[in-house]
Amino acid sequence: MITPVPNSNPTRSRRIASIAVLAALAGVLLAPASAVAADRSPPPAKSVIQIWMWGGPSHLDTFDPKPNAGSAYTGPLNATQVTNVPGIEIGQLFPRLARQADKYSIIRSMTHGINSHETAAYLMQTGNVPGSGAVFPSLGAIVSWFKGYRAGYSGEIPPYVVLTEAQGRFAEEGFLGPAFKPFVTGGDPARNPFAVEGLVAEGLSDEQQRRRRAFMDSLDSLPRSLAGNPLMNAAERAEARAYDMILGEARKVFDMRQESADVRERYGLSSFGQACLVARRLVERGVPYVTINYKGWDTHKDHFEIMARRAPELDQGLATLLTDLAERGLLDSTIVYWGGEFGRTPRVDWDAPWNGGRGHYGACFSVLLAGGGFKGGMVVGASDATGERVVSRPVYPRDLIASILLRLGIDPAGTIPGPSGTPVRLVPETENRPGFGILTEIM
Amino acid sequence: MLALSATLAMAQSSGPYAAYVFPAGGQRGTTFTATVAGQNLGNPLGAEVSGEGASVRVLGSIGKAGPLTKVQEVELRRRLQELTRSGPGTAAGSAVPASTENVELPDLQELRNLESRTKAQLRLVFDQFLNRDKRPKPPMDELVTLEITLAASAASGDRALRLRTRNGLTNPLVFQVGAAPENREPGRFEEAPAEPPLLVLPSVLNGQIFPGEVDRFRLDLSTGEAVDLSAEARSLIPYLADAVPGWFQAVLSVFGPDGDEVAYCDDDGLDPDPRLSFRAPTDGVYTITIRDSIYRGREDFVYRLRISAGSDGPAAPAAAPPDAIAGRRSAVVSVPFPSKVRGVLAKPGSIDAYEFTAQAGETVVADVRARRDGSPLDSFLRLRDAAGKIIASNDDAEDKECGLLTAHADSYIRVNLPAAGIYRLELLDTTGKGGEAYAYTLDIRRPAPDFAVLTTLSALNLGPAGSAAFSVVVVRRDGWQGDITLRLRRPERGFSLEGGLIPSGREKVQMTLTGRNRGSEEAVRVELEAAALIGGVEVVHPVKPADLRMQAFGNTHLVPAEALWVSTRRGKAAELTPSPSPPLVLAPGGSVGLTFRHPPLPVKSLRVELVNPPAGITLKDQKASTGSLVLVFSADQSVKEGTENLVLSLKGEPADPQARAREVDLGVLPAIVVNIIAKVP
Repeated sequence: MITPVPNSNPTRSRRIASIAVLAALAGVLLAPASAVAADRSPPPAKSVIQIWMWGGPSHLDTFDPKPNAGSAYTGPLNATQVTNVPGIEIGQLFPRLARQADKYSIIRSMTHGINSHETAAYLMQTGNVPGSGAVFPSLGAIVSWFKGYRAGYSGEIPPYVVLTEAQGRFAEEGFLGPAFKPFVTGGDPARNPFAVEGLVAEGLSDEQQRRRRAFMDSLDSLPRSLAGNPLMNAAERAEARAYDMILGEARKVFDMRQESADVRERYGLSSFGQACLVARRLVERGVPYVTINYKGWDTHKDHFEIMARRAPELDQGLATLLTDLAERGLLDSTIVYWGGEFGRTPRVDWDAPWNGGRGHYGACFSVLLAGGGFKGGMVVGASDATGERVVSRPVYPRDLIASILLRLGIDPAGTIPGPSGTPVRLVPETENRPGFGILTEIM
Repeated sequence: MLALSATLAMAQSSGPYAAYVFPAGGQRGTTFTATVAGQNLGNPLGAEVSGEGASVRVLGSIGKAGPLTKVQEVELRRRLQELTRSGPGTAAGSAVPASTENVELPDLQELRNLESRTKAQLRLVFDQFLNRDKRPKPPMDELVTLEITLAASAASGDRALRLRTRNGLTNPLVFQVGAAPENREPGRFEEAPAEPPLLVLPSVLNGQIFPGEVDRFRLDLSTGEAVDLSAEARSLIPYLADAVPGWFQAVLSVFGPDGDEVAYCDDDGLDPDPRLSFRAPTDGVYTITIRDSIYRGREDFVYRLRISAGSDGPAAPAAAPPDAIAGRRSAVVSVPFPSKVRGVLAKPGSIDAYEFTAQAGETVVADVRARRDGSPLDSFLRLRDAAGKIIASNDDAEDKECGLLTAHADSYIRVNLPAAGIYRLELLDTTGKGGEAYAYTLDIRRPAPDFAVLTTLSALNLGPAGSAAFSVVVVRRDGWQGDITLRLRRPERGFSLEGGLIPSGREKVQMTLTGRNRGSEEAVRVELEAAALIGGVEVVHPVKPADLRMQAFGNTHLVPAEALWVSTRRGKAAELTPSPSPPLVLAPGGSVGLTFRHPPLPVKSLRVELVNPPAGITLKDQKASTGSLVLVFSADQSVKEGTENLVLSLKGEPADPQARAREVDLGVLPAIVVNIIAKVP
């Protein structure tokens, strides 16, 4: 028996097919919404913007500087930026973020001890240690489950969007299935137009798109032969939703020309800066979870050259995002989460072939949380004089994810259907004693 | 008294490094050229090759800026654009610069006969010389060309080749000497032959694999003719720090005259380097290919392929020792305690069991050697008491002395027996395998306290301050934890060792070696020995030279080296004098001062940093003034009683306002020994 699938027609254009799949899965696989919130009060956060520092950024050169550790640790970056919060200093390459420190809190005691990308990324994205036999969903997929279509979300843009490239280190949707996969935009928001895969095609007018659809429909005999089939009906609805995205209002969210040149320039005209702007536009329209996969931080070699080149664009993009969200009244309802799978070795490796590089380091690193009800202007935990060990208030990935879920009004002790349908706890249990577990000090 | 070279311009934070040599060997009785690639190879003076019968002359070198001047780069770009019309790497529509006819390009093989090159080859030339993204990068962007002469009497085998530069000696590279004629694959810049080169037996083929590349060679064989092929790749460069897998994983294939694959090998048992033997099924020309298993490639993916008239088929698996006991499922062999058993885990799923009688409170060591001796056995060891209860077990025990092993699969148990009686040791394979090759030696003994000491660096390049810092790693056997003292075997040669005490229980210590009153550049082999009192008797072992090498971004291994070398600097010595004379004394929560007095130095200011400071000790304060440098060290409450070494790195702001560097590295000072006491008397 052949089971028809929504995108089985090889003549259908790729972008139609990809959107159709997204819409179909969202529609077909809808399950009854479950009771969600552990906290009965309205959740303060509606959305998350996750800035995923792909490869693992140096904690010493960003938010946990150690200027007195000596050049073996600092390399040439042996100064700091005094922030607008007395007592908090950050890396010297982040002057704009130094002026926004009251908006975010820095966790300087993240730890999991894993130094391989795949395992560490899985841990930081899911809170679970691999090896259970099941691939757990990422935080974004969990949020999509609780705040996406099955929970009443009706936006045309999928509830979990990744700018601009899928991570690929593991399947973000995990055992929740493809309906909870992120919508990956592709393209480059710094280019005009931002060619979002499946939505925006250069050189193709709306009328051409409509004619193309009509022509393909005339060739496509499958819907006629399977008329009345529920799956095919769902696929048809999904296709209609896909076209709505392409030809309707939804795609305008990716049309960067709708922002003034001034705003675009404030974010910085880099791909990252413009991705931050797109992220703001997405949460403005109610998208619950947006990930910016920000590549290029796996700085084994040329670390300081890369920092000098990329830190300014990070500084500008993130600082402007925080300011812009705050000015628009969105920061209170939007969690901004910055961090990667681990930090980088505090000791600089000057030997060949690294020549001033930093390796993977999971024993101690930093993440940054802002908005969505998280307090700003605070530092959680501490590392030692060289940034090699956590000396107070260890924060494990499960603690971080559980805290974010709580701020979204999602009970981290709640469940989702596991691979065999049996309920599975969202996040492993966190320690419930002072100085451990949930980040109550910034909530 | 310390020596400080005045040649500050030579100061470098990182010593010379050699990434590869190509070809990585040669035929004795011949003279040929070879290229060493690396970094910080400026001012090459020569090379050291271990063993007798090899002499080396430096023919030339290319620095990291490349062989072309700016004007020559313009000229090369112009010629490439002319030859390719659109010009490789040239933006469409850009104008071809005017001819600069007077500009000559250097006489490099890569730049000869450009007119006869294909477009693909011209693209390679562009990438090699003009494309910043594609041209060789550190640490392989500096090249030194050597002329190597191997005497007819030179012994065959592996040698260690180190480049000697004004900045010191490089790490060793494996360089093989043999009797067979040598060939090189056609270079990337040479005109590609219509067909792969036809080889004769025996010969050695040298090549490099680049991304996606498959090197091909041909052999004309008769029906039944046997050929042995043996590739050397991982054995030449054991570890690549920035590649996964962490070495060039070569794969060999042989294709018959009809194009069918007749032989294939991707490793030789536990050895990643492939070896295969085959017999030609028919007359004809056979094609041999070599590539990386996942089609990676880079300049340092260097190989040597030995091709010889063959034996008959693959080599027989390693035979068990003649007196080995063939294991039998569930059989138990009674052995005296102590005893050493040689056995074979004969069948898949076998468990070899040995019973012995021992006394209460006795410490028993059970030590398996299998993988370290080339056996495929991945042992697991467990010890049961008379009631059958498991009282100790072990899967793997790392042996730092076996740095070329990436999987430490041998088992080790040391346990105090709770009661007198019969104990049973069970040995099995963790993967449930077995067979006649699964041989092992099981040593059941009382503890034999001993130790080994290895360096983590085999070339100590003395810095401008006359010293070099290095670390040693201690292998403590059977739980022995005593003090070990390192010393020079021949201290009269003008060197001294500072901080040579390895305190009880420590597994790694940083120390320095200093060369006094040496006014010339020279490379000297030195020998260190390690002495300890074990059971009231002084036990002395030579310190084993090794280099710490990283594999695949994370794992490190101590790779044995042929010798420990010290490279001295040219330059007039100055003197620094510490006061008070070490050792210093520190207590938890306390501090201690140290003053260095020095003559005028060609720097405006001095600064020191603690290199790998011991836990709890910091350089609290420092003040430099004319002729002196005052340091204050402090200890927090966490410091433990014992002895620590403080290694100080000296830096200075150049006195010359035209100097490009804001700070120059003056190297390390001799280690300062600090005795940590419980409290100040």
